[in-house]
Amino acid sequence: MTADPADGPARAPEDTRAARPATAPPAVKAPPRGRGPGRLALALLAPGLLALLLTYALPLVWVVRMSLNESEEGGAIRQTLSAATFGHVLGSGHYWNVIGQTVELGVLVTFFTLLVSYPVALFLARTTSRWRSLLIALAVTPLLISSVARTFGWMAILGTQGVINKTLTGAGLIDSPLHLANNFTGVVIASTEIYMPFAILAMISGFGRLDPALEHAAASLGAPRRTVFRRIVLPLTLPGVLTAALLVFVLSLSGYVTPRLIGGGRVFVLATEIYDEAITALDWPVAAVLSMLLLAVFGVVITLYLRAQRALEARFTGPREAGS
Amino acid sequence: MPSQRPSQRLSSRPSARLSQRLSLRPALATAAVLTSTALLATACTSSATSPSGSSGGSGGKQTITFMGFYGTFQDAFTKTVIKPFEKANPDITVTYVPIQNSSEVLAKLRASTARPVADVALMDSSVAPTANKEKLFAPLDASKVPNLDRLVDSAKSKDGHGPAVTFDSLSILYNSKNVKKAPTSWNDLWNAEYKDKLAMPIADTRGVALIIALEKLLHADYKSDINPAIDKLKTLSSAVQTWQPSPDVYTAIQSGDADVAVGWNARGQYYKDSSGGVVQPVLPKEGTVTQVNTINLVNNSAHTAAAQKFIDYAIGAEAQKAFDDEAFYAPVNKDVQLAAETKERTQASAEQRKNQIPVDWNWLTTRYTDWVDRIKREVIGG
Repeated sequence: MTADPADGPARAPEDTRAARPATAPPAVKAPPRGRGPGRLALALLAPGLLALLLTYALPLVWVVRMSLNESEEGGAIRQTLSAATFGHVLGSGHYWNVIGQTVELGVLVTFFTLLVSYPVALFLARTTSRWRSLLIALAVTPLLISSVARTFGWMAILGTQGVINKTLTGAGLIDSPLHLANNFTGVVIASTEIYMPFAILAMISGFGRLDPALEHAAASLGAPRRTVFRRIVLPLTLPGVLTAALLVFVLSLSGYVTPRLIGGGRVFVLATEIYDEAITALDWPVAAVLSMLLLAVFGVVITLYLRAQRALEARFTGPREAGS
Repeated sequence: MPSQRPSQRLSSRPSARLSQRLSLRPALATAAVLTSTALLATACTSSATSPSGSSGGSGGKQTITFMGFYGTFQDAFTKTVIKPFEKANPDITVTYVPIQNSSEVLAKLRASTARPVADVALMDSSVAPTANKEKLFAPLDASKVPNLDRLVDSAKSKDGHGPAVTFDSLSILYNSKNVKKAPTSWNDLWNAEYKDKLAMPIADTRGVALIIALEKLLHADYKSDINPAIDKLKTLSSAVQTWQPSPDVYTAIQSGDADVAVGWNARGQYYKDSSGGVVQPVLPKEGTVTQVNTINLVNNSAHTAAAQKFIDYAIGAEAQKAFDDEAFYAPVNKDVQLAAETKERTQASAEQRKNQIPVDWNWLTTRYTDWVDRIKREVIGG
């Protein structure tokens, strides 16, 4: 984690650019600034920005405002500007447990998703088969089925009456069914499969640096396959892995459907807790505070991601990229 | 030192072209996915906010909007209450907006106070006092709702707001194919035969009702101390398979995922018929707890006269009998004589009326969140 700007490698790009002012004129880097194109760009962006403003920014402002209200008994909301609800939530061990379980679920799901998706993505990125496009399409077909349906599928597989338990008890391997669903284990297993297509797509698109020529070069210089993987393939694919990790982690942190359906009511994560506070307990200020906390967790994760990405770039490709 | 970007060289491979086209830059792809998710989420919440009913002059045809529960409730209510009402009042049309639960009604009305999205709304009696306090609902004009006089005492509103329109009760549900000894008492939930086969969706009103029932069994008073019931429930934790059966408790019992559960009687009775008797609801012998849905006039409704006419019809003897016989609720109107079968399958039976456990839902509104929190933290999480 060396993202300090004073650090050697991170400075490298600026140094090289400064050293060659003639070959890289600033006019090439920055597009010409005319009034016309600027207006056009703004006009083209306007619908999207407007939609985002209406559907994303404004509701977010509303949530921030709500988090500063207080709730009275019975779900009535007292309009005020106070940090009391924040204090109530942050002072409660229960909500810290919820945050802890949310992050724990995110970490576990991300780890397992990357573990099972990496070989698939690596194969898809490297294969020269004429079926390659079909295979990539196949890898993402699960996205055509809603995650609700897929979670129910996992319940049929993991439940006490499910395929796995029926098979194991039928074979006499276990006496009483394993508790694979309606708990944390079930959520981890189902989430892992549900986020695999996202991870595979993100990794394939992040594997751009992977070049068979480099592997051949390493092999021709006598590196065994394991070394080629460790020193060439793994470092070159890390940016893709990092992106996939971010994507899966963020999806898992905000995931509602899978913990709700297969968690058996035992898995308390931020998304389900926000729903419960808003819908069952009618405590909108607490729900809003929890939403803010979820956003804060996202902020931390994205900061870590950016730092890790910068460190990676600097370590493996940063200085070289800058020379192109 | 290579001067070309590897990705540029990659594109010389024919198969790589597709992957390039497919692959947005990772960060871009991430952003795209996140944005579309956010858009989707907000699109869902911003639907159904168009103002209610067309204000078709005072004399002409009027449309009032009614918010009621979705699914079988909607089917039964449309058939036995709305259709006959429209027939009797050709100048009024009722639009049914299905909702998931009372908090959804609360949210929609809070978001549309000036031009409300409904004229009449159902609401659970544990939520309704909050809506009354926030002036989302208006008091009724007793002269326009003459049937208010015909209500049983427990259906009347103390402050002139919307009265009860349905009485439901908490039941024990079981799967008759898997269960050898049918449960008859709340204590049977602790039966060793049902271990790991229990579905207990009690982190909501069902849990609140169950606490009240257990307090009676334990000779305690729910208004002063619910520790006895909470401690008793804690001893059930290890036997529970799921606290949140999916998609709902009735389907879980029907499919045999769970064998014994607690659930609402009316839906349980519906599933009993539709499953050919696989799902069996039982009203425990110690008595059960009533769940009340109130019917309310929305404040600032543009059709108060028609809305109150509709409310009056819904609590009237004719509509009550038709709806209760269809959907297995108990009547709120004194003049109703239910079919004998309906009586036996609801809290209107002689035995249940004798053992009815009284509940002060108005008082409970202030404790509801606290109780549900205790169930979640001490019983489920503990």
